[in-house]
Amino acid sequence: MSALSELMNPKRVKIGLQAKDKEGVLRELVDLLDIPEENKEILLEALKRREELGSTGIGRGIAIPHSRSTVIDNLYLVIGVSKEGVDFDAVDGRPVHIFFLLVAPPNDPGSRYLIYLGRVAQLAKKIVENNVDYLSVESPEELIELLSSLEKE
Amino acid sequence: MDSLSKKLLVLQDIELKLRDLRDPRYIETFGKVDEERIKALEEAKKKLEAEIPKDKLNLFKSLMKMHGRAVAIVIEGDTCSNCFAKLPVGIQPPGPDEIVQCNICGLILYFDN
Ligand SMILES: [Zn+2]
Repeated sequence: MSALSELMNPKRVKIGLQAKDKEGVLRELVDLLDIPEENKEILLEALKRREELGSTGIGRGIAIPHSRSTVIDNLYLVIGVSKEGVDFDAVDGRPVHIFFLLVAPPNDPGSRYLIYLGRVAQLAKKIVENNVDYLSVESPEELIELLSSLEKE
Repeated sequence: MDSLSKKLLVLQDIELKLRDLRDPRYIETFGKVDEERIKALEEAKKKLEAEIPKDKLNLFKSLMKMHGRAVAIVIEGDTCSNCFAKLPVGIQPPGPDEIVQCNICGLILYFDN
């Protein structure tokens, strides 16, 4: 199983998210995926339904929205950073500054989806433990480098 | 009223979600989701199943068992989202109570709009 950082692609990283609310930020993240517009709507619905089960805002400024969807052909990780923070109904009530969106096809060989979800959660824990300053990062490439080296630690 | 293929698409979504929520790896990452919310999902599933003709529901279940998924989306009007095969020229969305399957992978096709 390869590292989480291998799923990171500058095309799917956005520094400076504009959205101010939950739906807006999910839309902004989904927009970074190279899939047809109508499929983005279907994926967005699935993500919103998951949030209704309980927020994926795990606290300390981090959220991990995720879903399987029929409209997704592969496992994708999208990362977004919001300087101002977004109210995401996080468990600790704090605004969310970094989002890890993980989406996968309905069936993925070897349950990579569940394994990578666990890895994202581990990475989130490291971000908190090391008090990583991701808000001062200026480019997608820089963020990927920062997170990749953190993952290897 | 939703078409039969839309209902099957939603049913698939619910089943996959229930499966993930019960997976120990998922619980380890996100904790246990409220039992009440899981119950609500199961009830939604039952209600939906009751609206689907028995033969179609059996087909859905056997596809889920065999492939882990039963419904695919038609992309750009002519491609199966599961196997990426080009569908036969002139393929039309089925009537509201009918279904069409991909001629290559066999999954039930959902035509968006
Ligand atoms: Zn197919």
